[in-house]
Amino acid sequence: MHAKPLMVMRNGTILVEKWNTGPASVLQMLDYFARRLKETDHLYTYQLDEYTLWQAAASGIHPDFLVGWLKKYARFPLDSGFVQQIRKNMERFGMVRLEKYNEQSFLLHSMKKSIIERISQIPGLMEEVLHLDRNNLVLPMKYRGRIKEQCVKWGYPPVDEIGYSEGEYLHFRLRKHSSFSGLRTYQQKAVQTFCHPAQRWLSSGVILLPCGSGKTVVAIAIMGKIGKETLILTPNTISCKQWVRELRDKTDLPRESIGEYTAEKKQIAPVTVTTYQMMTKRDSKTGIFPHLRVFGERNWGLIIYDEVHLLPAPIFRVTADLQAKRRLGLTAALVREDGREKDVFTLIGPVIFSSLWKEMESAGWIAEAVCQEVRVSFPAGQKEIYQAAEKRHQYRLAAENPLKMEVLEELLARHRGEQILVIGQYIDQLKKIAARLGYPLITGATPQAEREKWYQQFREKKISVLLVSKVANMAVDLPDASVAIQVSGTFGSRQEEAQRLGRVLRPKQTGHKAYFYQLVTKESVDQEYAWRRQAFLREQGYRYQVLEWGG
Amino acid sequence: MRINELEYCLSRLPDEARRHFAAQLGLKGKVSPAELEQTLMDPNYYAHALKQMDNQERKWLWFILFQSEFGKIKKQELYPPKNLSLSSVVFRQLMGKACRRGWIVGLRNRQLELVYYCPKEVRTGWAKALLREQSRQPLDEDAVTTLHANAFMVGQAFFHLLSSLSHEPWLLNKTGKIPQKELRKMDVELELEDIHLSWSGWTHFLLDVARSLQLIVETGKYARVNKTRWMSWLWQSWEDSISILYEAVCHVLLENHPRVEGYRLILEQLPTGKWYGIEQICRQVQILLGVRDSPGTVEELRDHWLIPMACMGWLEFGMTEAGEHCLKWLAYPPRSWEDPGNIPAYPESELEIYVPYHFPWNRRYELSQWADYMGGDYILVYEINERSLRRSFQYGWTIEKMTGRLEAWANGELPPVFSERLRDLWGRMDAVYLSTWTYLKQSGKADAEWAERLSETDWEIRKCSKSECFINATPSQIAAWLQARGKDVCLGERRLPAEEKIKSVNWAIDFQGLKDCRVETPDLGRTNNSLSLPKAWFSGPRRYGPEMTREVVRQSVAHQIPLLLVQDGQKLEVCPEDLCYEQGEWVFEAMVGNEQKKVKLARIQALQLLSPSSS
Repeated sequence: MHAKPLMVMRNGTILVEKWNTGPASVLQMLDYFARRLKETDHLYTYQLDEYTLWQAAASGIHPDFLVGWLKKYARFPLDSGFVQQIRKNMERFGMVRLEKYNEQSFLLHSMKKSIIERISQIPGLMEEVLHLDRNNLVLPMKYRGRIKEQCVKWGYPPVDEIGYSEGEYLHFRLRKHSSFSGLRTYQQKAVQTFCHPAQRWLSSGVILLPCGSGKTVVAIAIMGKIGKETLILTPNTISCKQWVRELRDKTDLPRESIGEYTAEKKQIAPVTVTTYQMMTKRDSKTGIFPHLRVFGERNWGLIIYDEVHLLPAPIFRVTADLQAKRRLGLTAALVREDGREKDVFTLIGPVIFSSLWKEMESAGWIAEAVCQEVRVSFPAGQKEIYQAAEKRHQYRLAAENPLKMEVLEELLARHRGEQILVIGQYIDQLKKIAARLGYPLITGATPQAEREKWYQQFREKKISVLLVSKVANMAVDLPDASVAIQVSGTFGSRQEEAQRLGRVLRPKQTGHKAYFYQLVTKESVDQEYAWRRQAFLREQGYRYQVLEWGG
Repeated sequence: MRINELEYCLSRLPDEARRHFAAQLGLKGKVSPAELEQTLMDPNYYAHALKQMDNQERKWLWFILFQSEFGKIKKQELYPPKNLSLSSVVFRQLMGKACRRGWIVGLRNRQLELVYYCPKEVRTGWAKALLREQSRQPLDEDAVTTLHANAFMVGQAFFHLLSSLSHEPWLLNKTGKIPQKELRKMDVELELEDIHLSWSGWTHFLLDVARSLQLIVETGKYARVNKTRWMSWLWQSWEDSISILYEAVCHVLLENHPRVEGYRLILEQLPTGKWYGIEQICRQVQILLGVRDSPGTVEELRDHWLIPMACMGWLEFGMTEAGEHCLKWLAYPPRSWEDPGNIPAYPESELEIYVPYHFPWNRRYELSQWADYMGGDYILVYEINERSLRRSFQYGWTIEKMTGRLEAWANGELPPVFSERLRDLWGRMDAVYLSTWTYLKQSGKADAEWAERLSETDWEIRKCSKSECFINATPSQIAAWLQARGKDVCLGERRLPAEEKIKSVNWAIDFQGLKDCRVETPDLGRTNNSLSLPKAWFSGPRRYGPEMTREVVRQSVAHQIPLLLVQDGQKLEVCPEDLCYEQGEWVFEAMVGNEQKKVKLARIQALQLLSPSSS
């Protein structure tokens, strides 16, 4: 074992050989100040950047200690510039502090003169800033979010000690029953971290847990601890309904205390569940977002952003003005194809609790997953058509390879008796499967009531196979699905792949493994896109076995 | 590595010259070049000599270190610069003294032109002494802000440039230059910090470095690598090549900055790993040598040496809060460095290969034949993709060869997905593979026994008939195998291809062109004892007849003895050059004041040879 296991690069990437991680404390310590980006065949890759360093500073790590520790375990010399960057970033944390001045305004304190000057010069703010002295400004409360965003952009994350508006009181208890015996240890830890953070300002942030590990339960437990009225934002109506169901199932909240604010219902209750779609629906005449008023309808004490990686731009803007509210983001993978993870950090908060998928699997909290990529050749004559096709049509031709049907039939036979989801990107393909095999199909066009009916039957094991389009990607609770077969996927969405695997990760009562199959047309772009989609899960330590169909 | 210039020069001087140096240095008996060299490289010797120097000598030393071009002074430039307030005569006397002590030698090129030269080791000896005389403390780490640092970058940047050029030579434009487009593209790939250089970019600069090492050739239509030297470069150890690169880089950077070269020699003597203020060192050197340097020294040093060197990774450049520029040497060759030990290659399923910065060049070159460099510093990332695999075809790589290499470098099996992905990618390339096999035919009756033994070798064999087959090995390998088993071998009509061998290249760098010159001891300012000229010529200004005047001047020119002459009632000290007969009159050329003038002998009223100091 090497006494210096860390290979620290100048851009903050830290590589650690998987079989040579040094003393056990090394990886634990790394988790405090760096983000584990991926686990590949030989290496763990961590990233140390300004955000992780601020986080380390927030948790009380001193820059001298961190630099000393890195020097002790780094195999290559750390150059002064890099060390200074660490110090600078950590020292910048807390150089700006926000405190309550009175009900309408807050005090911005900074020893850094340039920050005070820059803030006073923000257009539109100049008239409303009160200079107490060279280190202190008083600003109207409405600028709290904007100032925080601006300070983070300048590299000075403020410590926001203004506190939260308490919100209306809400009392409920978690209800234990046969299918819910209480919080698991990691769930308790997540709740504890959120509700009793090391620093008061950290009581907003993101919880990162794998699909199937019970994020919803964690959020409900947090709601219970905080005991304030809560607004829950979800990605779609189905997941909205699922939240309502979970709240009814796992809490003693009376029915009238749980409202659903969707296209169908417009209920505003102490706990209100709505969707991002609803919030961002524009009035075609005025161009405004009329439903955003929900944010101000009640005195919310907590706002939950489910699948926070999907947060749309208008919600970011609203969230900037909601800094007085406690905020909780939930996601399985904070991967945004638009790169706006930093906005999540600024406006929702830092990642305050996370757990690695494979670690959860070894602890038995999520099912052990067997991922297989099944490669299917084109049928005779089809490859030539594929090769002659325009590039933009090639993917569809490969994704809808008719031979996938045979493979699917064989896999369905292999897993007879288990709860199986067949997931596809193309409706035509799914319709063909439904027509040939006679299984129910849920797509975006399926009415809500019908969707609910099939989900319910699937949950009750009255049906064992369900065909779903991408509508079932997220937040759909299918507790007993143990096999997922993806006949076609989106071009290369890592997020989607994680979500789809998540459909089968809930721990199985029988202790059986979960199976995730991807049917891919051999030697085509389908294969390449599948590889790209798998990236996030590969980085989480999942390995896809490749099977040649008929090979 | 740079050749030891002092050793080279001493060993090429006659015994008599060395005996003379030895006497001057206080060494007795028969002295070998090595002993002389040892003394002339001893820092204590220079420290002692520095203490003994008077103001004029110190000014002369300033000239040698900070105003000569890498220690070279052409004969026609043998005049002191104005700012030193040294007379030509004194200056020559000091030069003469330095020649006698072995600090300066003469280099005569093929055209018999003479250049005075102070070898690098001697200048380094002075630099050490000058630094030793100073009281200096390293700065507190926290007191310095690093402005430029780019550890361990230059080796890979240089390698990447040359390996790219070797994979695909650059087409020169109509004027025979490398197109700007190629330079700009490569600048982006090199990942060196974008700074203001005297060159149009890093590629331009590194190409000059490569030229100085004769690693590229630009003839005909293309700029390409010099294959022999490139192969040799690749077989050097990482440490050696970085040391050579250091010398070449310094030489190219400082070619037109003699003042910076002087400070470079001094700053090089600072220890590794600590910050030192530059202004303070420069100021103290000036005080020690009694010279006030012209403004802009530190700026010149900063822009032309420190910042580029920091960007290439040899040192860090920073500034204190008070605004003083500082440098910190990094533990990077040619300085002693900590070898991080054996770090394998890490092939990852994404078809990325991670290798350490000191991964051997020859392996790295093989890797670059089928993987693209994607960046990195301590760990470098290469990626296999369609483009890189297409490149691999020109080098005859196969999947098996590539995976074999990677397994050897990774000290173990490849991740199954890696091999799988590689095979997929390769399969999509749809290339036709051509290879050379050796055709083997038994002339007599087919001998089953040795044919069977042949199949036990590691060679791949494709049988055509009982007596004919193809073998995937060179004819020479098969011939050797057969001959070892007593078989006669007929090698067919074609001659054996020459085995590719790595020619040994001597990397001892000779930037001064010493090897093209004859080394001699200049007779500058020789004493009369050794010249046997009439004492009267030295004793005072005298009036001579035309012929005697001519003879005195001739001796002055021949032995470069300064002359005091009286002309138009005024006394002048000159160092005459080129006595000649022009338009019916004898004249010589000399610097009079700041001007090169022709002095007519007929107008000289009196003259005297000036005796050089015999100390």
